[in-house]
Amino acid sequence: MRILRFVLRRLLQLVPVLLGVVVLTFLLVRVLPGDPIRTILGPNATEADAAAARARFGLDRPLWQQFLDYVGGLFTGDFGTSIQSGAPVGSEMALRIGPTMELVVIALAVALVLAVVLGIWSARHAGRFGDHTVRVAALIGNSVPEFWLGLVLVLVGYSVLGWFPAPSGRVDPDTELSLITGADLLDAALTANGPAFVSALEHLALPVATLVIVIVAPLLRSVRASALEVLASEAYTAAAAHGLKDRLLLRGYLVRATLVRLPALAALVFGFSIGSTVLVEYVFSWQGFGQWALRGLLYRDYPVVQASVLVIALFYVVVFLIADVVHAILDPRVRI
Amino acid sequence: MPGFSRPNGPGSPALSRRSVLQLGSGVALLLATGCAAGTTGGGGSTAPAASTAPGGAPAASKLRIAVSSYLSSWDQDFVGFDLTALMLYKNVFPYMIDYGVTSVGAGQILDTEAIAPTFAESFEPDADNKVWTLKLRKGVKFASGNEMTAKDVKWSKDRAFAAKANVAGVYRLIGLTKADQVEVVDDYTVTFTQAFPSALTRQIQAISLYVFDSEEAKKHATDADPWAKEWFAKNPPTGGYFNVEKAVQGQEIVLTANAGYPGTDGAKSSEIRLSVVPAASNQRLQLQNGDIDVALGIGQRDIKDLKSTKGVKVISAPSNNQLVIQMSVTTAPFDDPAVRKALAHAVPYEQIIANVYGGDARAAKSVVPLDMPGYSETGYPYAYDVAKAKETLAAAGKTSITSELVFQTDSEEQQQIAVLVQSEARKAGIELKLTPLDPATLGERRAKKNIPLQITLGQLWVNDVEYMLGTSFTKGASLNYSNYVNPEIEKIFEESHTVVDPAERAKLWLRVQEILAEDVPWVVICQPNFNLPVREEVAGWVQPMDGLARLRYLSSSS
Amino acid sequence: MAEASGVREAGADRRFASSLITVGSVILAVVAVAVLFAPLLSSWGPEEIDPLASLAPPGGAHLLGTDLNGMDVWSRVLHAARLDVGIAVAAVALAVVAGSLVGLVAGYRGGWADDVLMRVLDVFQAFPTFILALAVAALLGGGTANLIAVIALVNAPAYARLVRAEVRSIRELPFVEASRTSGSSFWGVLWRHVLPNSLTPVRVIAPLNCGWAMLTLAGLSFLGLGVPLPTAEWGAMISLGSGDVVAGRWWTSVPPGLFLLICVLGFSLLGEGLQERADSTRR
Repeated sequence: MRILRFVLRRLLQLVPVLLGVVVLTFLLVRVLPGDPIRTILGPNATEADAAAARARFGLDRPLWQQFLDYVGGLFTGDFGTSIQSGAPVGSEMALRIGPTMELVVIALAVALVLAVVLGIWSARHAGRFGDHTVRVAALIGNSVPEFWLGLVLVLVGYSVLGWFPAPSGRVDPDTELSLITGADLLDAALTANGPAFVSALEHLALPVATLVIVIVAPLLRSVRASALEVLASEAYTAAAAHGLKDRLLLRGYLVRATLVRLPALAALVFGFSIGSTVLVEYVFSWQGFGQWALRGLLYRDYPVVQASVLVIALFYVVVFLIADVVHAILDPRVRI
Repeated sequence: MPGFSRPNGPGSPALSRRSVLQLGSGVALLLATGCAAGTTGGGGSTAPAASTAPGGAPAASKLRIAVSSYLSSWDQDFVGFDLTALMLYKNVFPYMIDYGVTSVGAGQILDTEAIAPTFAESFEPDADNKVWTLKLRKGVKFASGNEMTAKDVKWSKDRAFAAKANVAGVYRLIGLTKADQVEVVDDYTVTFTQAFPSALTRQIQAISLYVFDSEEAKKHATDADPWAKEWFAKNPPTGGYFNVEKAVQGQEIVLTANAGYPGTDGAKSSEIRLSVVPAASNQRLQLQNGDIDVALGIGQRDIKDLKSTKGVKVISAPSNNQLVIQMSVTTAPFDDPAVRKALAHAVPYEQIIANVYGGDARAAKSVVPLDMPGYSETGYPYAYDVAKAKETLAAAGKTSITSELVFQTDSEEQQQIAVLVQSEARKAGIELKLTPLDPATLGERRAKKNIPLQITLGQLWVNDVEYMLGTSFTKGASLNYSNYVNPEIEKIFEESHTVVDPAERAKLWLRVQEILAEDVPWVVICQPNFNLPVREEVAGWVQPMDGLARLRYLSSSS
Repeated sequence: MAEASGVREAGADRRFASSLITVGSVILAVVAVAVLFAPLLSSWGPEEIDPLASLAPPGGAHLLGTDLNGMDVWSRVLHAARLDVGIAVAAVALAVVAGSLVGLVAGYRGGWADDVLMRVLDVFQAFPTFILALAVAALLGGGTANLIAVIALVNAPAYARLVRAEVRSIRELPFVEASRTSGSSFWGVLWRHVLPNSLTPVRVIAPLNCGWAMLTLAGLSFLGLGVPLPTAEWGAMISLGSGDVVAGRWWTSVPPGLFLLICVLGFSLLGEGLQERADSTRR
């Protein structure tokens, strides 16, 4: 019951934040220099043509009215019409979220597993060569510009070694994968399409590796620090002194205790990844959310920018909420 | 378009000349888009001879093409206006008439002078050149199975007028302003009643006469959306040379040859797969590895390497693409002709040709493009000479100048040129701030005509100086980013409409070039050659004079 | 292993922390030398064009070859350090100052001021970094000062949160409480008691953040929204050179990539060392 109240209170706090994001985005895109209409009309358009097009997208109305229309639309799930494509933003966005979420979620999952395994191993070998190597390696990964790493991986993995498919598309089109969620791996699993699943995995390998290398360091450090605390704690030494089996110790004390801090950090890393995949997407021709939002921004496609910012912000706050709740459940010390 | 909207006197004797001119605005609009999309389309290519067997039966060959970006929209009437979209439209919409093909040297190019019916049976005027009759073939079908009839043409034209966009704009030039000027006679006959006769009807209709499947469209129309905008934004049209088999937004488009094409020059490839690969380096890798057959997004820097790459060939030809810096003659400091002249002496022409194009460009010494009748270098004094540039500035009482050089943010080529120009101009005392602009900002600033210096790269579709003046050097012309107006040029331009004799015209053009050399609204840098890297097995490339590839001619023997 | 005592680990960790700090500092010192003496270390200017050499391989007149524009890669890589490090440090400093101020006020005042400020920070944190940076860059232009502002804006909320949390825990301590009730002014208490204590975690985070700021800057340049060419900047150099790698011309993008990596690594090692030291002291 208490946890439910906690969740409710936190959900209420989200409302002003999301409203703030909506207002800020709405104003920000409109103060940017650049005309969204000229790019769809071409240079020969007269002022009258441009005015007609503006009216078509409601851009001739007063700002407050545009804002009310936009917010009103949001309540009915209507994100507006893209100026560049003339199509509803909602359906375009639905196509773009899957690929990016697939990339980020898988990368984060791999990074978490790596961080937990390596972090605990590192803590148990603290102060030794292996420990230092792991940590410095993670730090180096954390210092590489991801777009540069991606380019190098494409060159080596695709061009030189030929182990990975061309950086084009996310699944081999010949596998005839049918689209459900937009996340190819998931779709392949859902439709039991074996070849597509394998192909999607192959396409995912390099971009996921790029992201993992870049984000694993902070997670690793957190796990290792927690593990060290546990290893030094009286309860753990007592249990070890009583001859508890190593594996039981590991599961009972180490893993649980080290995981307490992780959710909040993972949420932060998730937020960072989703905001910066645009670079990885570009390098791997990954037509996801970031590319879509970037193009929207470059062409001042107001509804597209508004929708993409709102959705990223929504993901971000919800993930943080989940992290907080998980933390509250795992850590009895948290007052809720 | 004030430059083009002079009333057309009926029965004008100089119809042919006028047509050349007025094709201008319709074409110029596409030309400028080509610039905005930062492509390196070119004209006058000599592609290797292709075995274009007559007959419409599609061969079994499949092609894979990489493009840099996905098309913005499938709706050609209301929103679509990027180069990828315009190119795809040419291949998936049924156009009633289109350019022919002619051989030049060993290669083939689109012939803008020979416009012939493709999906239509015929398109002919009455004796007065005022009422044009479009006759449709019987039995031509859209993918839905609906037959293409006169009502589809009528609906499509009504839609175009309602959109008040491209088509409605160019139709003004041939006296078509209202939907009721397009009338259905019977199931297979439509008439277009123009307000005045015009010899450029064929040219304008060649880029405008595409037809929707209206029966299908009406199913998706609503009271709020009578033209099914929402449906067509997402759903490709059908019935063209190719049908869109599959389109994954942002990523891939699969085209299959339309077996029902009624003419003789149907698609040579049964399937064409276009994948979106934004990074040029990735396109290059895929081309080298044989994972794609044609790379439409590879920049100049890779061309030299690819020429010697095994399995890859570069289709290459001199082109009418003109690289210039337009100076705003109404914005300080370039409102002073001395400053313009100084800049024209400070641009490192040879170095740009050598470094940016690897020598693969032609030096040009006139605002009139090379290969255009009337091109003359006489009276063109500008060559790279920093001392002269300084002298010119000093003579005008100026020692240092600061300004801004604008170019497209996504064009590596232009960025490279900007850096070279900045470096040399500095030596002459002209300090330039480099300003890369995204498409939306560039479009806005161009509409306001307040860019002091900008790099442009583009081609003129009609090889004629009168046309060039009409698009670029007369008051209000759409590509006249310089804001250049000269009374004598305006006069010559008017006069040239009725001058038919080539020698007479040449004389006019000499004078034009003298004036423009003196006024220097543009610094003409060079004409880079056209280059398209493809796999060795690819055949049949027809050089599009409008920069929009007709994929139906392409095939691959692998 | 299990038998390893906590004392030994802490000792080893402290030693390792020291060596991390040392290595990080040495790297940064070397970078500082590059920053200070770049003009002496290269015979070409960073924006000087060699008209005879575009994409010349390393060796000869150009130690690391030239880029597409015919500019000396070695000289540009050295000179870029000034700009990259300068922007990153300035941006983080600005973020620390601005963020700390907001955090101080929010944490110390509490109540509605705290609520409002925290929600505003939430908004900025939930806003996708790159879109915010891109939008501000597009709005203000790609100049150096604007980039500093962009990166500071993106980073400031984290500091505000950090300082706020510290302030809230310190606020109730007896000596702060005492000076508060003794009628010292609001700012006086903040300045003398709260600020010094709450800056401890900030010191640890800031170096890490500098590295991250450099990566953000490079990313912006890669997307064409950083410092405009021909100014030497690592991200822009990598971006320009990325097309050469496939042609086997590594020298245009690998050196700036490596320099960026090493410099960011210097900051990361320093930050990691400081953090490690703080952690082991706490244990």
